[in-house]
Amino acid sequence: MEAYPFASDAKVAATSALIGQPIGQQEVTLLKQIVLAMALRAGQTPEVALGGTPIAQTEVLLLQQLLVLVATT
Amino acid sequence: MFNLFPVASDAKVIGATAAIGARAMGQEEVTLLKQILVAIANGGEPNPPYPGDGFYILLEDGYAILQEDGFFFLLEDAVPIDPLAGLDLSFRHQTNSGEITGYRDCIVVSGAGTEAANGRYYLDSDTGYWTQGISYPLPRFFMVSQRSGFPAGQWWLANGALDPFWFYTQSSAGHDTPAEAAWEIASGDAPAPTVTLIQEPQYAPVGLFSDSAWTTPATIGQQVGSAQFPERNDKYSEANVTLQPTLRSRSGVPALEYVSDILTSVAAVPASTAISILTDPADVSGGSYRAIVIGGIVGFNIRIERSATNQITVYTGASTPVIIAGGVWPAGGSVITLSRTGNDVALYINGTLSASGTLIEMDDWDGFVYIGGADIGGGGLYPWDGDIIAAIGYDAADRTIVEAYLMTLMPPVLIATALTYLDQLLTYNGEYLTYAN
Repeated sequence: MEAYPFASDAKVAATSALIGQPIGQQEVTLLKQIVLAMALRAGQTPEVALGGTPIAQTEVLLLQQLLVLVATT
Repeated sequence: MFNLFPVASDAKVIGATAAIGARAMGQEEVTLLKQILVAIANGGEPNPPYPGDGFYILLEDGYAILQEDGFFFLLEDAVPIDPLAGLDLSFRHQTNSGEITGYRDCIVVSGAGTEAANGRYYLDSDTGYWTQGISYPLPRFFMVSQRSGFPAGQWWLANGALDPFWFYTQSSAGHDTPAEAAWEIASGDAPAPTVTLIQEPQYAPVGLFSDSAWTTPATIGQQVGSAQFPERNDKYSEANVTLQPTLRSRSGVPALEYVSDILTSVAAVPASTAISILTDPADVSGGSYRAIVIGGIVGFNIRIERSATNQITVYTGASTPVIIAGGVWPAGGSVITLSRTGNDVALYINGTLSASGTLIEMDDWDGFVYIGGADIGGGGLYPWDGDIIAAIGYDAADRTIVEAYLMTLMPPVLIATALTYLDQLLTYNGEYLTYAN
């Protein structure tokens, strides 16, 4: 299956606009941005969405935070 | 929020692919995380905003899955659409300030086997056909393909609901609508045409230019000559579309004929109208400066003077309509001066303006219509803020309008008001008009 990339480019641009920064190139950065995007989508700051906890710095903690966000936002 | 499906059915894979923009799912962690981020950021909404709205996934053997508004369609004989190919940057509508006032959707067809099928297409909401040169909003998705059951090499367009729209090529000159029998289905040899959806810059209808290449907008009050006078439809089609129906809508009577009717049904000038015609009768009888027709309204003055140096000057009072028809304006700096007070409209019909310095001076918010005749020559126009100028070419044989140009230095939002002025001019009933020769 060959996918057509044009619409995706638009979505990547929209994503960058939402998170306010270019999409990252590393796993940790991407996980942080996913947390940020989920929080923003829910109309909250990450700290509020995570109950006052700042965005984590390690993969495991970020995945935990994502699990919390998936369950609560 | 984007949903991860516990069972990755084909439909769900397609849905997930749609959510990230029809891009195949990644095969490594970083790519997958990026795609998850995109999907989350876009809220699981499969349709990105324009211009990415609507997409398709190409399958093998020419089949494709089309996604539009949450629905999927299976297409056959699909042809890829390159969103960037064929972008035509030669579009040169231009305001005096060069300001882009908005955008409109259109499609650009290029590379068709039949070259005449190439061009810009807009959807005609009245006929449902894709036509050139008529501006209507587009559906957000379109597609070009060969259609099964039809001869090879015939192409069609479809909107998001897969309603097919044939697009046509003009087989001969003089046929302007797809309803005319001479239009044909675009067909030809491979390759398939490339169809591009673009946002076409929407400029205010035309302006004046300070150079003959029409690349540098004239500044307010700048004198421009014949070389800067627009003459080509391809640069001023927007004005064409706007102005021409206005002029033709008068009970089907061509504008020139209608004006002629005005002049031949003139009533006596009311006693309260002050008109001074100071043209030298000897010159009039000589035939060089004759056929000057002036209309005024009660309570305002119009004055024509011919100086010893062959200068003819027309002065108007405030808010005065003026019609000048026929004749040849003398050299030496003739001037049509529309009043510095009020808003005037002037109509110059046929004839030839001086090739050595006829000037048309306008203050703000005046209108000037130039119908037929020779070019401005070496003279110039002095438009001012808010002025509107129309030039109309007509067929001498049947007196139908063949070209119409509209220039204005007014903000786009006031174009409609300006057209109303023109309409008022053409509907002026001539009650207070007279002419002398």
